[in-house]
Parts: sequence; structure tokens; C-alpha cells
Amino acid sequence: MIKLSLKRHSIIKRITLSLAAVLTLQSLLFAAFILLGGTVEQLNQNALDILNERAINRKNDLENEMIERWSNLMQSQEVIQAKVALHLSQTGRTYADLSPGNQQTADLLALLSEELIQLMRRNVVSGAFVLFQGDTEAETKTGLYLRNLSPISNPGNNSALLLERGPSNLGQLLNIPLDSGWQPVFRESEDLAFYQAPLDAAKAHPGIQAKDLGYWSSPFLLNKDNRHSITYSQPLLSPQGEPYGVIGVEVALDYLQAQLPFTELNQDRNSAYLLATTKDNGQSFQPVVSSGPILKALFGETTAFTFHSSSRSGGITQAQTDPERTGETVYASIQYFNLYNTNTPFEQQRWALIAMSRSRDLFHFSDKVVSSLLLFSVILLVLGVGIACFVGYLVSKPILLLAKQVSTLDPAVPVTLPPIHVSEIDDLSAAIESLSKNVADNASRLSQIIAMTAIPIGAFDVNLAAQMAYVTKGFLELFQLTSCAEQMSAATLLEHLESLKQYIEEESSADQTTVFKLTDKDGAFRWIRLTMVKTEQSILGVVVDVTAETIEKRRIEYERDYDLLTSLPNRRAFHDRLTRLEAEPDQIKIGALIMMDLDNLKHINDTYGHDYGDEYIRLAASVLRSYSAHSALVARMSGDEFYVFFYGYESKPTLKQVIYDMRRKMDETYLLLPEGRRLKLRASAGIAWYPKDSRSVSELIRFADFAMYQVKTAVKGGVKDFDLGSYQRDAFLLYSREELNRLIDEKLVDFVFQPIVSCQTGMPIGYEALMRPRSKALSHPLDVLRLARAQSKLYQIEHLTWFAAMKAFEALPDIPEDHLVFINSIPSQALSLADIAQFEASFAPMLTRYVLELTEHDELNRKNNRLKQKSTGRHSAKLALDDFGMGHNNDVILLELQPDFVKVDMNIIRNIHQDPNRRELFRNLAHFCRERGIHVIAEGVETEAEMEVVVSLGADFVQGYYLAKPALQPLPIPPERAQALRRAYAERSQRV
Amino acid sequence: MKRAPLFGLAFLLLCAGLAACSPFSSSASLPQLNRKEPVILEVWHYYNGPQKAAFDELVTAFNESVGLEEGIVVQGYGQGNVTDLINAVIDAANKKVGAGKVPDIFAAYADTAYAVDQLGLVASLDTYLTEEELAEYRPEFIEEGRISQDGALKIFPIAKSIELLFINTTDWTPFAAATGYRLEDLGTLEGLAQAAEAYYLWTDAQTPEIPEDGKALFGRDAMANYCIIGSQQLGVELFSGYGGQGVITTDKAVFRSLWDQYYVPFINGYYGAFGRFRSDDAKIGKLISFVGSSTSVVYFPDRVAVSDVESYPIECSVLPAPMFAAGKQVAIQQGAGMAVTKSDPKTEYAATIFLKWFTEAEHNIRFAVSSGYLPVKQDALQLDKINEVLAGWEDQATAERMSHTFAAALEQIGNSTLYASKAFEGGTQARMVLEQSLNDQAKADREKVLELMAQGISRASAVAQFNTDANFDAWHEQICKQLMETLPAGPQNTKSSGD
Repeated sequence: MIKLSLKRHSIIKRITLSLAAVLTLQSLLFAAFILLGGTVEQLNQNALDILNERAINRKNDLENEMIERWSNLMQSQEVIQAKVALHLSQTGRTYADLSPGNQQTADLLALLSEELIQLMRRNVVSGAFVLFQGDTEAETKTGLYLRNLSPISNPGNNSALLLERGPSNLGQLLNIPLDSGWQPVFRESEDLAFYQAPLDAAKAHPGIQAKDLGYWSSPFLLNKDNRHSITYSQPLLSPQGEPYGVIGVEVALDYLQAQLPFTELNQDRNSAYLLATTKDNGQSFQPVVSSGPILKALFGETTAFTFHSSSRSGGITQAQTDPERTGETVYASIQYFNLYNTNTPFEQQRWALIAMSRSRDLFHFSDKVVSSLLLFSVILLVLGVGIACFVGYLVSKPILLLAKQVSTLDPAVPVTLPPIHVSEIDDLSAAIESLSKNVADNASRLSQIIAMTAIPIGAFDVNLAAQMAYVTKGFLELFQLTSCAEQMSAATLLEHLESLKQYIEEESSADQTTVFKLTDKDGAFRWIRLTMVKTEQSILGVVVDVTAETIEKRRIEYERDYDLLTSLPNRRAFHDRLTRLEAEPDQIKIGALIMMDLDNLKHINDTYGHDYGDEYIRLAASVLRSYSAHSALVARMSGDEFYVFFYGYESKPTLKQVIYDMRRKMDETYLLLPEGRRLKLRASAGIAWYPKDSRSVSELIRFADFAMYQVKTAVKGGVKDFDLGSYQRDAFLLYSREELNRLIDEKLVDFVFQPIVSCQTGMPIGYEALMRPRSKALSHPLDVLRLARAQSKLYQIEHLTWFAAMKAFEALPDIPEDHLVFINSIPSQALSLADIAQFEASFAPMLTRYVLELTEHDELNRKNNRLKQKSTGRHSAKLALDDFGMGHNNDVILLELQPDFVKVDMNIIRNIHQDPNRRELFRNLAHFCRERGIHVIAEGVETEAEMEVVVSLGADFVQGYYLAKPALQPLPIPPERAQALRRAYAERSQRV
Repeated sequence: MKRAPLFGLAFLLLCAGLAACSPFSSSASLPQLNRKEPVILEVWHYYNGPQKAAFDELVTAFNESVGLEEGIVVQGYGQGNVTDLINAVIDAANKKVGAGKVPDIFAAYADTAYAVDQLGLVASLDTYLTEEELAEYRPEFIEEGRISQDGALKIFPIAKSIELLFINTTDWTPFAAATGYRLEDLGTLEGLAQAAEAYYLWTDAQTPEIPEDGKALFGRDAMANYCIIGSQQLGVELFSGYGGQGVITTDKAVFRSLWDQYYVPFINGYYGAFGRFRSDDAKIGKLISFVGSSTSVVYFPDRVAVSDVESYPIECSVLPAPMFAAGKQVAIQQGAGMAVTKSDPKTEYAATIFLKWFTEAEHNIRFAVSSGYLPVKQDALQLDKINEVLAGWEDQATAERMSHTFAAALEQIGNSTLYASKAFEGGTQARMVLEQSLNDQAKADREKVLELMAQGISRASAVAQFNTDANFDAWHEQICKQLMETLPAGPQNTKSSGD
């Protein structure tokens, strides 16, 4: 899904924007269609075509008028030529005699006047004239020039006529007024192009028809009366073809202008006609007359118009008007006249009718169409957007209303929504109603279920925006606010919640949970758990009565942390509390950790049964518990062990006094035994001091433990303070228990063998198996033994020694069958009969080859030694008395056990060559043993000197580093030492 | 609210659309003109020759200045003469086939404008003129333009003419020197007639070998004016009334005076009428003075053509038109004003801008001195102002003549009450009767006198045959009848007195 669609928009926005977008697009397309679709271009072209067409038509009309009507002089020319010819012949004069001041000429002109008036009327022109050349040298020329001020209305009389030129009496004669500029004659000094041009042409082109010598003049003024006119004149030709004058017509520019109805170009009089001549083929035009006032407005009074060709077709050109004036673009259609036949003298003078229109007038219609359509599209757009907004409003209004209603509905009650008559929305409403009904049903069902489950539960909902809060009945009951209404202001509810803060028992910000501990009216505790969810708009909260749950939890916790027998905290709880205390040294100040072990429990258990044993423990516990009050943590560790941690004391003596009290109290306590006997409560205890011994609780425990252990192994029932020195020495005993067990269980021991060499032969007779533990903590066999003794594991070590040593010996390769293995047996231990049986089974072939080395310490040992003596006897095995000359192995035992070998302790051997006492002792012993058939083995011989002495004093066999160190594989005796041994033996024999 | 901007946008668009549709952005008491969209004013006039030239020149000046600035283009169209013009206007107003569009402004006399006003086509101009502006004009000229019954100004005065006496002093001076007549003697009709007789006799005496070849001193063109103003001077308003209630008062004694002061000198040959206009006669030396419109000055020749080849230069003097010696000092004033056709306020307003411009002293005098018309504003009717303009002329000879003309004209209007002929239905025809009747009678009888003289009868005897009461009575009866026939309502409007 694209992200855009996920944005939230209001319906009105969606509807309005999409509708507006469609409408805008439509309007744009519409506008584009108008502007780019060629319609405008076509309309404009049409306008230009119309302009062009009008110009062509008008040009044709005017051309027709000029050629066919105005300049049609054929009839008059003939009449006048004839009359002149006749008159001249009658009066016997020549053409040269036609000069001013001559009565006959005046008479001739009077004769001709009628024809001229007719000519004016016939050709509908504003003037007509004849002019005779007469005497070519003369400055004045005679002739007749009449004007008709009203050529169109043409009243029957001569009232509109004026005499411009002609003999003075002619006016009176014809009753024609003399114009203000009237002159009786023409003068060459005047602008007489209408006379000069055709006459010159006729002279230059003799033999050409008069018609082809016709000349259209430019506008000119005959008099200073501002009556601008153009003329058309042709030469008058004598029968011989000699020109002798001109005949012509005048067209006043006013009159000409009236022939150019510019309004036909444009209804609004914004177009103009310009009749103009050009001598340079259209480069520039000299105006003849114009019609249309706009022309003056656009161009002012100008004497030359220039146009540049335009891209528009059909003879249309453009002109730019003076920017100083209006600076507008003007379109012009230039239509040329064909006034002159080809190859006639005035052919190069071209006349043209130019129809002009301002661009904006010409294209007014299309502009109007465009602007109307654009306006239309804008209106359409505006209306469309308006309607879109309105529709959006219409659609969104009921939805908003609906939303408002829905937002204020009570969700607990099935809602009924008013129809808004928009099917989709009504469907939605129906769905909401149905959903609401389901929700309400479910809610009530849920309520019933909750009620049935009897789970005390409540809830509240605070609408922060509305500052309203709604709480359930359950909530009120749980918080004992039954007097409150279910609906209240948010502030009130928050106030209630605030007041409950004093009852908070625990708070967890992680899951927004608070547990309150309240007391109900019966005085019982009740625990209420409140879970709140805060959002910007609301706070939702659920409250549950967790009393049962809490009680159960507490019970479990209790069981977890308390010893069932004594109701004292167990080891776990003790550790927890101690660890917590450790973090607060200020609270501890001076403290003492006491580790206590009840004496005699095993005895009581064994003697009186476990009930008495338990009672014995409870008795101790009750004494200790009474010290809980004295800032003490009391806990039962296990079985008969207790921990007491006193803390918070300012001085050690005070605390010592308390501890003393406690001991005294324990001493005064008795266990009543059957038959009225009483057993004193006795315990051994070790004390570690805080902070003197350590600030670490775990260390304190270890130290106290050690101290107690020391007590236990020394004097039971005593109390001992922890001593760091003894700890550092013996701590491993306490802490290598596990190591020992592992060593035993996994038989983590090796045995090395040290040869015992015959002095006589210098050859080994057997090997002592020496234990080498495979443990770092218990690397020395003596440690193992000490620990095993402390742990009462000596039997297992004995067992291990027997079996493992034997097995290792058995596994040794290349050992002659007569060689023996010397096994160290622990004096206080004796293998059980079953183990002996197993031993016999396991090592049957080897039973004659082992020598059991015995030591003896006390009574128990003696007993065991006898047992061992029996078993070795049964096996034909031999006995050796170890460590002779030291400790318990003295002469008495020698007598008692009657061993096969006596091993003289290395303490006697050491430096024996330098000590006469040792030599005496050894000599006596050797002597004693030889007497009784007991072989003497000198142990720990390290030097040749020692060897030589012991051999000389009577040793049968020698063992020690001098000959070979113990090794997993027995090392061979170096030959020179064997030889030295034999030599020493030989010397003794010789002496003896 | 999120919707607000959308509604706002829609509203703005709507407003913009409405604003675009609205044709008026603001309203003012006077319409707004637009330089880019000039109002084009068609002016129809009857000016010809120098008057047309002067008019066109001023129109161009207007178009190039105020017109360009304000957006007004004036185009003048000459319509030949007054009659043609008014017919063309009426044809256009009636939408006759082939007729043009009604012009925006057309020249009109009170009587001709009346007919167009009757068609409801003439705009009232008071709206566009303030009291102060109106007060700048000579009151009679404004009064003459209030042709409608409600007194609304329908004709805007632009130029007025009065009648003056023009005299060829080159030919007058030798006569005056010989006879002792002075120009002042020409101040009365009676004095004029005496001088004319003396002139005839004096010229006749110049060629003793030819009898009765005396020359006429005087002629007049506008016979209707002669009758109307003569009657007025003698205390009788010949034409009065308004609209359909025109009244013609034909006082016999007044008519006799008119007869005596024209017909009698005429048939004697003291006065003359040869060519079409008296100015024509003056050009060829047939007479040396005439009463004519002040505009006639432009037609007064500077040379007299004796023949086609001979001519001599002449000087010209201008005098107030002579009046009956016993009559009141009343002078005729005439000349068309401009009527504005009813169209839209913008066009009408533009038209008044043009007309006001045209009648500003500076422009009005320019037109006046070129055409012989009198300016219409009080402050323009001052000789020094006029001479100031004339001083700039190249042709000082003409300028001097113009100066004389205006001097005389100003003297005339200074000394006399100006009187304009009343316009009413049929008034034009009635004028035509006045125009022709006396002159035709005089011309015809002069021909008869000449015929009789040709037969050898003396001039005095021949004249005596016609200078009779009976002849007068016959003419008087005839003219009264003719005049009556011109009125639509019949004879009740004609008053005769003096029988």
C-alpha cells in the first residue's frame, strides 16, 4: 500500500479536492481546446478574410465607379471635339486661337458649358472642366471649370453649381455663382497637373487613343478653399490627332470619401479605408483620401503610409502605429486598382484601396469568444468548486454529526443512530449499531461471567478532554467508595486516587501497576491491584482484588524462606537479608556472624529417636529466635547448624556481652528426655566479626564457618573467634571437601613406585606405592589424609589405596614376579570383610605379593592392625611396620605385630653418618630385628654416606632418593650405586 | 476549521468572477472616457469653402490635442447645404434606405433642429454644462438654442453671423469725392437708397456718350432677413410663435417700407442683382456694395474682373448693415449651432467636450476669423483679441479685411439688439417666400423697365409704371397669400394689419 493513502483526510477534502481536480482539469482542457485547438486561429483568419473580402469588393466597386462612370468621357469628348472643330471652322480660327480675352472663345465656352454640366450630371462627379492650350507661349489659358457641390442629390437647377474658372460673364449667363476662388482664366503658374500631364503624354505618345492618355491626378487644391479634389483628364485631340487641350472631371475628396463607407468594415467605426497611390510599388503610400476617423487617431496627419508584409495570407499586411500615439498593430488589406491600361504613360502610378482595422477590433470577436469561454470556464470552475464544497459539506455534515453522536454514546447500551440517507454511511451506521449491540451483549455477558467468577474487579475511564470519569461499581466497592456515583469529574477521581496513595504497598512503573493494602471493616487486610494505561486523551484503569493471590504468594514466600521445623528463616532467606544488609554498612556498624552447630544431635537421634532430635533443634531455635529482637538475623542452615548475625552495635564489647548472654541462655536450656533425664543444650560456635574480619558477608560466613569447624574438630561445645592465621593454614580442609569427594569418587589418584633395594644384591625386592592425588587443591597425600580424617573419609581413602595401588602395580610392565608392592594402610581404618572379599577376588594372583605397611597411633589402630594382620596372614602376604622409631610405632607394637619388615623412619636416617646417637639407635634396632628374623629397611636414604652407614649398621634393604626417586614406572637403580650398596654390604659381612 | 480555506477560496473565485462580469468598476457623475477606446464623433455640417477649411483645421487641432488625450475623434462631413444636411439627418433618423447613420453632431438652425427634435433625437445639453460655463456665452446665442418648449438647450452655439454692409472703396472713393457722399450716409436704408441713386447718376455721367449706363451701387442677398429684421426694426415681429403655433404678422405699412427701400431703387437700377450672389456681381464690377452675412467677407473679391483678361485690385470696407432710419436698432443674427443627437451619455458628453473646446475663445476666434462667423463667447467678442489672432496671418490684406469686418460686426452688436428669426413649423417655407417674392418681383419689373427703356421710354416713365400703389397692393396680397399657405394650421395664424 502506498503511504499516501494512509494519510488521513476529511471527506469534504477528499470530495472537494478530487472534484475540484477534475473540474480544473476539465477547465484546463476546455481552455486548451479553445486556445490551442485552432478555433481562435480560424476565427481570426475569418476576420482577416472578411476584411480582405470587403476590401476587394469595395475596391471593385470604386474601381468600377472610377473607370466606368467618373472617367467615362468618351461621349463628352466627342461632343466637345466636334463642337470645337465646328466652332473653329465657322469662325475661321485655329486651335492656337483658343486663348483668353477672346469673345469668340468665350462664346465657345458658353457653348460647351451645357455639355460640361451634362457631363457632371451623367458621370456623377463633383466637377468638370475643359482647358484649351491656345497659344503655347501664353501664360494664361482659357477654359471652363464647373463644380457641383451636390453631385448626388443633383437638384434639377444649377443651384448647386459653382463657376471656378471661366469668362466673367459666364456666371451671369448661366446663373451660376462665382466661387470665392473664381478666376476668369487658368494660369500656368497654378498646379495644373490635370492639364499638363495628359497633354504632355499625348505629345510624347502620338497616335494613342485619348482614353489611354487619361490621367488620374493626385489630390490638389484648385483654389485656396481647402476643397481638395482629384481629377481625371484626357487630352482633347484635333482631327489630326494633335492635342489642343484637356477635358476632365473632378471628384472632390469629400465626395470620394463618401464612396468609402468604412462602417461596412466594422460596426463600431473602428476601421478605416484609405485610398492611396504608390509610385514605388507599395513601399509607401501617399494618401488620397481616407475614411474612418480611427485612422487619424492611429496615424495622425501623415503623408506616407508604410506597411510591412505579414505572415497572414491573402494580401493582408501589418502596420505598427506610432507608439507615441496609440502604438497599436493594424491589419491592412491592400487592393490595387487597375486604372490604367498596360503600357500607358501613367501605368506606374498605382492606386490602391487599403482597408485597415486595429488588431484588437479585428479579432474582437475571437478575443471575446476566448474571454467569454475563459470566463465561462472560470465560472464553471468556481461553481464547480462551490458545488464540490457544498456537496462535501452536505456529505460530511451528517457524518460529522454522526461522529459526534457516536462519540457521546454510552458504549454499554446498544446504540441507535439516526439515518442520514447516504446509503453507505447508513450501512456503516447499521454496522456500528450491530457492533454496538454485540459489544453491549458481550459486555453484559462478560459482566455476568465476571460476576459469576466472583472476581472482584473494577475499572475506571477518565476522559481528559471531557474532564469526565466513569467508574464501575466494582471499582467503588473495592476502594470502599460506595458512596460515590459511577460518573464523576476527572478531578474528583484523581483526588480519590491521590488519597489512596498512603495505602500503596508496592508500585511497579514497568507495568503501571500499583498494589494497595487496605484494611476492610472486619480488620482483615485486603490487597487491591490497580493497573493504569495513560494516553493523551484518557486514563484507563483496572482494579482487581488480589488478596487471595497475595496471601498465597506470601505463604509460598514464607515456605520458601522459613524453615518449617523452627520457623526460622532458612539459608536462602538469611542470605537474602544478609546481602541486603551488606549494602548498608551504616546499619551494620559493628556486627558478628555466628555459626553454630549443635553437638550431640546425632547421638540424640540415634539414642532417643528423631522426635527428640527435632525437639532438640526447636529448643535451640527458640533460644536463638529470642535474639531476633536484638538486631539479629537468625536462621537455620541445615540439620543442626544455625546462623546468627548480630548487627547495629556501636561497640564490640556490648555485642560480646549479648553473645555471652546467648551462650549462657543456651547453657541453661535442657531437653527433657524420657525417664526424667535432662540433656543440656550444647553447641559449638565460630564467630567472625564485622568489620574487623571482613566486610563481605560471604566471607564472614566462610570465616565463621571455619571458626566453628575448628571448634568442632578441637573442643566440642566451645566457642571460638575467627583467627585469620589458622584460617589461612587450614581453610582448605574446610573448603576442599568436595574436592576430596571427587577425588574419591573418581579415583583421582596416581601411584608412584619407589624401589626398595636389597643391600646384598643391589637389586630391588619390591616397591613402595606412594599416592599422588591428581588434584591441585589436595596435591599432597598428607593433605588428603588430614582432610579425609576431618571428613571421616579415611575408610574411603584406605579403600582407594588398597584397590588403586594394587591395580597400578598389577598394571606395571616387566616387574619380576618375586618383587613385592608395599602399600600404606591407614592405621585407624580397616577394610570391611566384604571389601576384603572383593579385594581378594580382584587381585587373587597378587595376594602373596603385597606388603601392608602399618602405623599405629592409639587403641583403635591396634584393633585394626590385628584385623589387617589376620587378612595378610590369610593371604600369605607380609606386614611392614612403617615409620619405626617415630610416634606410636615403638617396640611394643613390634612385639605384638611381629611384622616381616621394619621400616626405619627417615628422621633417624637423616644425617645418620654424622650423628652417633642415631647410629646407636639404628644399630640397636637392626640388631633387635635381626634377632627376631625381621628385615630392616632404611627409608629416605639420600646420600652415599647415609647409605654406607645404614648398611654398615645392619640395614637389609635401602629405600631413598640415593637409589631412585618414586616414579610411575619404577626407575632402575643406577649400577654404580647398586655396586656401592653391594660393596658396603660386603664390607659389613667381612666385618662380621 | 479545515474547510475554511476551501470555502474562502471558492468565495474569492466567485467574487473574482462576478467582478469580471461587472461592466462598471466605478460610477461617476460624468462618464469616463478611455483614451484606448476613443469615442468617434461624426459631425455633419454644411460648411463649404473657407468655412469648411477652417472647421476641418480646428477639428484636426482638436483630435491632435484634447481628443487624443481624452479619447475623442471628431470627423467632419460636409453635407452641401443646410437643406441637404437636415434632409440627410431626418432620412437617417427615419432609417430610410440608403441613408447613413445618424450623426453624433449636426449643424442646425433653430427651425431645422426643430424637425429633428420632434423625432426625439436631440439631446439636451444642460446636463453637461455648468451655470458658469453657460454664462460665458452671449445670452442671445444660448437663448436661440433653447428651442424646445421646456427650454432645454438643444442647439449649442458655435458661431454666429450677422449682416454687414460690404463696400468696394476703390470704386466708392472717386464717387464719394465727386459727390460728397460719405460712408456714414450708408447707415440708414434711406441714406443708402439716396447714395445709390447718386451713384447711378454719377456713373452714368462718366460716359456721356452712352445714356442710362449708370451702375448699381448696392445689392442684397438675404431678402428674408431684410424682411424680417426690417419689420422688426419697424416694430412688427414678422415671424413669431413656436412649433405648430407659428404666427406671421404681415403689416402692410411695414411691407410698404420694405417695398420702398428695395423694390423702388431696384427697378431704377440703383440696386442690382445679376449673378447668383451679390458677391459674384461685385467680382465682375456690377455693383460695389452689398449687404450680406458676415461670412460673405470671404467671398468679397480682392480684384474686380473687368473682362477675362482685365482686372484691377480693390479695397474693401465693412459697415454695419443699414437700418430704417426711423426704426429700432435691431440686427439680425443667424448661423447654425450644433445639435447633439441622443445616444449614450459617454458620446453625448464627448460631444459637449468637443463643442466646448470649439467655442473656447482661442479656437472660436481662429474659426471666426477664417470664416467670417462671430465667436459666441463674451470674452471672444473683443476686437483686440481678434486682431491679435489676425496679426499672425501671412496674408495681411485679407487679415485687414477681416479686421474691418469684425470691427463693424462688433459695432453692430454693440449698438443693436440682436434678433434671431423664430423657428416654427412651416417657417422654412415662409422664409423661402420672403426670400424670393420681393426680389423676383423687383427683378421681373426691372426687366420690364429695361425693355421699356429699350423702346425709348425714359427711365423715369418706365419706373413710374411700376412704382404704384396698385402694384404694391398686388404684391402684398400675393405675398400674404403665399405666406399663409406655408403654415399648416391655416389663416388664423396670419395676422394682417395696416389694410
